[in-house]
Amino acid sequence: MSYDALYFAPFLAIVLALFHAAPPRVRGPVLLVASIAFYAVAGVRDCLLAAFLLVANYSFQWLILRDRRCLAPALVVNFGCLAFFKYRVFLARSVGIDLSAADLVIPLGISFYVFQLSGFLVDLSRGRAKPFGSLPQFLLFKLFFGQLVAGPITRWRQFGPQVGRLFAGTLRPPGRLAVVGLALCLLGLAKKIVFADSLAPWVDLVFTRGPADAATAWIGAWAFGFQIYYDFSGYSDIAVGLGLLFGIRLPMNFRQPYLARSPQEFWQRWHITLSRWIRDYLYFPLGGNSGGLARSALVLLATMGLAGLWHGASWTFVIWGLGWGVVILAWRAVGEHIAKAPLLAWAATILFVMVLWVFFRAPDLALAKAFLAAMAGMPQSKAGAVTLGDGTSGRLLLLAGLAALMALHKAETLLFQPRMTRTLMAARGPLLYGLMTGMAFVLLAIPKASNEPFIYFRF
Amino acid sequence: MRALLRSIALFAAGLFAAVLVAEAGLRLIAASPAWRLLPVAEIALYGPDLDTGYRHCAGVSGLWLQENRTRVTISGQGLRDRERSYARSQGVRAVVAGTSLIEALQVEQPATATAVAERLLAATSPGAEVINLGLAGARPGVLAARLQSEGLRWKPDVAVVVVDASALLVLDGDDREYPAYSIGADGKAQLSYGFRETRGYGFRTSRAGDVFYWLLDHSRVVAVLNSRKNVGFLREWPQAPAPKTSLSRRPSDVRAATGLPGPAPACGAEQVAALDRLWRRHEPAAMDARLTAFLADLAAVGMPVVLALRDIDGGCAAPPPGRDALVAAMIARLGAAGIRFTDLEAPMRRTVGPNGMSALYGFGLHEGDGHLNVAGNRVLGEVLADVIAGLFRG
Repeated sequence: MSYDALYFAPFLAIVLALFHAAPPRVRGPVLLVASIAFYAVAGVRDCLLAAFLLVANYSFQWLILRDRRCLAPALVVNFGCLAFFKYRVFLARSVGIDLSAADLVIPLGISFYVFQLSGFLVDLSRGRAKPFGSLPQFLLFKLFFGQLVAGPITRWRQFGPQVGRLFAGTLRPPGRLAVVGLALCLLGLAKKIVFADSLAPWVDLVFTRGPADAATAWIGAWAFGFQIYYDFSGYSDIAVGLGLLFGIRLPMNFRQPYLARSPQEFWQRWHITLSRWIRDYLYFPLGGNSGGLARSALVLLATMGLAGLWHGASWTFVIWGLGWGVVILAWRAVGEHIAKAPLLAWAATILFVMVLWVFFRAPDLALAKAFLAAMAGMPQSKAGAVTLGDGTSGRLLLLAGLAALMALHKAETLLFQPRMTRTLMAARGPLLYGLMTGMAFVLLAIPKASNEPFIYFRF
Repeated sequence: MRALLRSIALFAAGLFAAVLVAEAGLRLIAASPAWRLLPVAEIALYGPDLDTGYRHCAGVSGLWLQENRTRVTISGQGLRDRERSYARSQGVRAVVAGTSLIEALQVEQPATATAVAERLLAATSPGAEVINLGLAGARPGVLAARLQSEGLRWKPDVAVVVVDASALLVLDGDDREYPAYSIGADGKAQLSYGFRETRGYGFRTSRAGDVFYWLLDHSRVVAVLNSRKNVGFLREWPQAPAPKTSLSRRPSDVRAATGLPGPAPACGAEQVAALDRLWRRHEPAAMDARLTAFLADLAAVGMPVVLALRDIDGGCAAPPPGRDALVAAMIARLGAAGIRFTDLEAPMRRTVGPNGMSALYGFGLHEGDGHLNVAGNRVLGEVLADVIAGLFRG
């Protein structure tokens, strides 16, 4: 089930009605049943795998509390499943074994729930989390449909106590926050349906057939950068909004990342919960910044390489991650000087972002290489390569469109100001609810040219 | 209670305001250069017709979104064509009836095959006109009815009827949506118009239907909802991918695909064999009766008619065995009915080469699959111009 599908609206309406009509102590089970139904659409195999991992991790928490040494085998089970279902073809191919005939579709959300469950177990072993008293509570911690498939990757301290209060019947109702939740859902739908899905066919065209010239290559990269931003941040806005509708506060996952003025700042604004997970459970345990320049550089590269690999079982993702590692290292050396000119810092950062997106999006290294060559003004002639924009006026229009995307990105900061939240809360009422519900419905009704799933659903 | 009613009224007002905001947004996008990219409402093109079941609504204009976004305008006479007068000019006038291939909504009107043919003919024969009677999904029954009704209104000199040969293999008598050939008690087939008695047609031709079409034409939000109804409200529900059907030429090999025993026949051989059974051996009888009736209806329009067939062999690069004999049989049978024959694909293939046909179809990532693109329409237009010119030369 997907948030941008029309059938999700009646599902949500029914769940909301049952949730708010139910006695407080029953709301937790209501939400759990709804979340299981939400995930069940993914299919039996995905459900069985998720059920196995959830029950296993629920059992692990008790073992870890008794003996912290049980953490290692628990993580082996979690990451072993991830490696098997997501990476076995890639790993086998890397050593010369072709398993593509046995290729499986990646179970929905596996990358996210393995990270969330593993993070919880690590926190438990360090005394930063408490065990869940019942299996239903534990299940809801992971299965809540607002963050099940593509995050945000929540920590126990962010979500666990809320689950406990929900099952105890003491979670505060959403109240004024419901209007903020609905507004976030509407914003997310607009980002996905109006922008991300509109950019997708053009991005697919350029990245499948290759750019015929430098301008098309840069336009394609820029367009993808905004496609993935609107797609994933749109999903995340909806996830947080859905949480608020039930009185649950989930962490924000994006903070206008294309306004960043350094690579480090970019990763503090992009997929924030994943960045923090990587930092806390991978980077710091590996040594972080300690141990000298060479060691910290290696740790950074390894961390970013693994972060890239998390996104997909392909060398292009690994190189994307390693590329970020190199950029961050270089910035450590010269960033202090670049930062003195904020506009230059921003331009350099956005340049790195868009160039590295080529690796993320390209289907293979060969096309990534050809794409970068085109961006550098050395397009490789290839039959069927694409040119975007007819003539000068067409190109100018495209440039205007791309600039408009960045302007909208900047304007988005206004939507997340505290005064906007206060204005929404003050204006809340049936009229505003009707307006937002109607607009959401129109967005959901727009027929899609093709079923474009949220990009991060594929991870 | 009053508070509840007030809340409901305010909520409804909010919904109405949402419709107004969406209406404004969709119109703004459609009027701006962003129409090529952002969501817009697709034009609702079709309305009811007494003779053909459905036809284009006269005077509507808007955006066509499928396969390639184009601005489409339907003429005042209700055709996917430029504005023109029923009154004859000095030059020759031809009408071209066909399916979505001729309708060509995926390209701008001046780029359609009929417009290209008209320009080519007018270069040597001033005042020549080629009128586009193309209608998406037009089965042979619809084509015959369209020629008899709309076609004759233009008092043309010649008529070209473009038909997929494979469509003649599935002639059926289902007239619940448009005219079709039903078999009478005497074993003969004739056009029947059962759709006129259906509730759907009744609604579409009623006052309520008028209001519905008015809304479709004037409200972008209604157009979006109508488009959504057409694709299905549960379209995003996970399901197995449907087999692709397209107008592009793909070599077919049914026996290999079905795993039947024995050596795989040559590409297109099964379709040629099926057509041969129909055209030469008159089997199956019901289908043959419908084909005979269709040809008789074409011949009865009282002007030279060319049946331009495509898809005779399923688009194979090399003609399968039996094709030449089949074509000879088609020419003979059509000649006996007073109709001329042309093979549409052979001249197109000669122009672009046997391996160049797929480049004439589809747009963007889907090149090779779908309707004729601008290049494809240009090549088809050249062929149509030759066919029409040949009628006057001969």
